[in-house]
Amino acid sequence: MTIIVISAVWCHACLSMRKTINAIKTKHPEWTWIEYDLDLDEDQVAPFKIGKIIPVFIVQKNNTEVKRIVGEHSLSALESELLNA
Amino acid sequence: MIYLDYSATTPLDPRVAAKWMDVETRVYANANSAHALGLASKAINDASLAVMAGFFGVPVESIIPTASAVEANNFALKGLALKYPKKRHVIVSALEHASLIGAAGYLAHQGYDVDTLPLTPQGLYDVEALDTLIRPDTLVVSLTAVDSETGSRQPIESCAERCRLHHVFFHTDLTQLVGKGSFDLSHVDLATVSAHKVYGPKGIGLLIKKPHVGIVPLLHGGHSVTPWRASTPPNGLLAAFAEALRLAHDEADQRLAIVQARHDQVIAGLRQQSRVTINQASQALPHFVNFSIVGTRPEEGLRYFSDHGICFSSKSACSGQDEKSVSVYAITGDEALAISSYRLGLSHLTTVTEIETFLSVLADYVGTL
Repeated sequence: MTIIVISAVWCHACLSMRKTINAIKTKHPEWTWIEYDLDLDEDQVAPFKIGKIIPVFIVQKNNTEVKRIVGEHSLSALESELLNA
Repeated sequence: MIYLDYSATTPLDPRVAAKWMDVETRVYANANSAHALGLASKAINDASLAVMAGFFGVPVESIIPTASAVEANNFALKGLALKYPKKRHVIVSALEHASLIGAAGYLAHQGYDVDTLPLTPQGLYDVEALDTLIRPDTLVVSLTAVDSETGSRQPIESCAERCRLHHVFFHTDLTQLVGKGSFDLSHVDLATVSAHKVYGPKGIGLLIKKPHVGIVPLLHGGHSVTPWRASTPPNGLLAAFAEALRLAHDEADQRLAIVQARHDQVIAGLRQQSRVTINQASQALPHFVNFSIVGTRPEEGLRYFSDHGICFSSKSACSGQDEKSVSVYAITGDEALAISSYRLGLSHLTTVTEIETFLSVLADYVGTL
């Protein structure tokens, strides 16, 4: 499973989720993470057509999007969403 | 056009502009040059720095001119991080400007832990929470002095005092407070200031750094106005900023009285609109009026007002889930209010007629809903 994270360095919601992301990365080393910056990685972000709310977590299996999680979530909520993807 | 967005930026005071032009055209030599004209420039700059130091009540060597408050915020966090690399923990608030969050976010990507100080139900910093958040490896606590959405004056003095007890650096972003209210920097280690928020020019800010604070410069290149930031001394900008601060000091009471009157006029008018909810924060400065029109999308509402010649703002551009305003949600606990909030920024330049026009257009807008 691959999780694509789209965030911005100036976004407090993204900043406050940094610890959550790091904790899940440690707990689930079997998942692959790709992180894009909304401003600096415009070309990579554009195809995903995200809305105004960040961060965005795009879950892919076999290169196909199976789930999209938007906004700030607690550690347990995000982990649960990912486990159920 | 009617401008009601003075919290975003202010127009240049013509007296400040005159000072800027006078110095930049008459005392233009590089203040680092040893010749007579250079020495004259240095004397002018030293006088400007002395005015700034006096305004903030700090030693003159604490004044580090920067190109902006954005730079000062970045300088504070990254400069401290470079100086004290074993300290890997930072505390901020959800009310910070994007530049402060950006600097903290950059550090987070380098492996730093960043915690957020919670707010009380009144939307103020939970000062006592600092005792549990501060760790042995805490580098700095950085908290803005004023919530730029609701205008709540935050208890930075109490936070600074608490940090001093824990031997942790305290940085505050004074950008929204300078020229609007008083402050005490006795226990503050570093502070950020901007000229363009106080009727000065864009292109100059300050990092105030107390002498006991170590920091690594971000711009290297030798001694300039200070040893902490290299660049050709901007004589005119320094003089203009000093003049803007002098005017803010000398005219403080007069300006505040006008702003308070305009604030009261707006509030009285908003109370006549049943669809409007005033988001009144504790300890709010009268320069800010925050209100919600439930059921509206701020970007559409702002376009309506702009099309009718009135310019103001909503909440900050970055948001979390549901695009709700952290500030408004903190004081109301109401998501509908937090996703439909608007911010007026008032000034001593705001007129009674401008407020009347705003209220009239507001009534028309509400009538279209």
